[in-house]
Amino acid sequence: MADWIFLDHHTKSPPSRKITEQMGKDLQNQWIFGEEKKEKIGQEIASLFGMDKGQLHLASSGAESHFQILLSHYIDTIRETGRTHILTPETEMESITKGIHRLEKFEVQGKKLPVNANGQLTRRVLEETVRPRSSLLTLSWAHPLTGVVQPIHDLLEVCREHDIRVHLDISAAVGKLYLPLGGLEIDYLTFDGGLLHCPMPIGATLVKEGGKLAPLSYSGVSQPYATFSAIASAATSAQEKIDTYAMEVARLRDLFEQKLADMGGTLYFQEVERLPNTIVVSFPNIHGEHLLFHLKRRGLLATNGKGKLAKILQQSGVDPIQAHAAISLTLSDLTTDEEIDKAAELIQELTLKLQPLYAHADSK
Amino acid sequence: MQTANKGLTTQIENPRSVGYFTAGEAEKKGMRLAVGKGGAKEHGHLVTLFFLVDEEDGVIADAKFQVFGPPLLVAVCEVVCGLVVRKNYLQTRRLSADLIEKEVGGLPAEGAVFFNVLLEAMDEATEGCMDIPIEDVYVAPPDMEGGDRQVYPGWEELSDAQKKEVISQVVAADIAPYVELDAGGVEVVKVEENRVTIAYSGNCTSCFSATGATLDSIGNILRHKVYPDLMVTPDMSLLSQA
Repeated sequence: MADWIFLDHHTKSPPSRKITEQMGKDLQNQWIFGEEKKEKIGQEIASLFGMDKGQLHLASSGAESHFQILLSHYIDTIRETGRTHILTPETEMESITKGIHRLEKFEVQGKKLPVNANGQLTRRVLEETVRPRSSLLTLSWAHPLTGVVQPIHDLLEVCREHDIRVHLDISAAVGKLYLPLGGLEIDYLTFDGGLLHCPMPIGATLVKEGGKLAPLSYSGVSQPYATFSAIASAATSAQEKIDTYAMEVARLRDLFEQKLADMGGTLYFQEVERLPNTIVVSFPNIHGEHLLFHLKRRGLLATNGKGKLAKILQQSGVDPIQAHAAISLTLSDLTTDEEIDKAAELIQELTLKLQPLYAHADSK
Repeated sequence: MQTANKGLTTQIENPRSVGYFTAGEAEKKGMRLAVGKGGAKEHGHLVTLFFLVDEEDGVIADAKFQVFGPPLLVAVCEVVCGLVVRKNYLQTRRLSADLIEKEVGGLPAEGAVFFNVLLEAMDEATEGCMDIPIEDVYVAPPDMEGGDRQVYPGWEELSDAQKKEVISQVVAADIAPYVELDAGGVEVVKVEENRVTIAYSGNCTSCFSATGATLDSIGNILRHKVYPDLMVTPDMSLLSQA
């Protein structure tokens, strides 16, 4: 990390030395008796998110957890009830949309719901889409690329009225939003330890008390205790930083946004509830991937979600050229003022260098 | 994005043909301005090509581009602008995706779509030049003088049929794309030990250079890339007697 300015914290996060060392010790020392402690860790994490009780299941990544939920829902609910519709916002992560698409080869019918200009799925759209055959709504509370927070309370009300189960991914939101999940009765809650400074991706699923999650294998072997303790430490540590994100990271985000606006950048999703660490910006005539290429060559890492951000912006009504020009920058509690100053300088330098590439496309 | 090679990275980092020409500039230089666009904004790929075309012989004297797209598209634009200069508009229209790819020097799979964007822009730019009379010129395959000569492993032990197969692959990859620029074609008829007989088709059958510079270039390439003692002769029965 030493010389990199890392502004891509919703794709991966730098491993925490403390968690890595703890994992090493637990792998060495807790290999016999760790089994007994796993349930306790599940309860600790459930309480951390305000849930009364929940079963904790771990997978090798957040994406694997998502597919496990979809597959389990298909096996245990859709095949039993014939309620084949799975609902998700059209902007949702590929691990969800592609997972649904995979199950469409069977009898599942995926319903991608349009979002509004702020990137949110509204109560009205959900109500208009719900049918008797709708059985699951799956979505991220906060989108990792845009930071947009979905109006989960409204959406949950609709789901409860129609007996629709809910899977909520909170990977981007943990440690950045207060998570008053008690009483919301979310059926499946997921997050990825790889985004919370664990040294590797760990998919965590909390299943509501009484709920079912079909296992991915029946060997009786599960993740070691060290993985459970690592995800617990990561979630606890992240939740302890909420105030830092709300105050300090948000201050840096605002400062950075001002600098970007001053150099001609167009900022998105500023008028909607969003995470305190996420910026979406575009510059005239500069393709986002082109800008990212040059930024990376100069030591700054950010993302456009491999083109996914452009699709999201177009789905929110943004002009295609502006949408393809957009990049997502995500800060963390490790980001410094100096890094923001340096990042702004780099972007300014590159916008001047790259804008001539398409500034005169219509000259004759 | 992973770039395939260092050359591509250099072209992306410092493209030399970025820019544009105005009608006024073209007029001042006594040239025709030809402009063509390719791509679609929904896909985030847009290219505008600007050619300065000599109205005496249809040769493109200079080329510049404007681009909105991923870095690989910038590299392809840069390569195309380098390729078309000193070619006439008909030769430019015959540039194939294969030849552009060869000049780019390898592109990741996701870059293949960019060739079509450029071909679309080249077509539109050259469309407006079709009234310019074309001089009888040709494009020779690249000169292979200098550089390291290669010897195909175990060449002397190969049967004639195997030798023909090896040479045919080199002709297809390194010679045919250039000959096709002049609406010509070339293929290997037979190989007897180190004697290679080739057959021309299309415009090559009536081109004076088929037995001159083009033949020399083909021989050079094969001697450099396959075996130094190869002797190449054309099948004269297929050449026009005019």
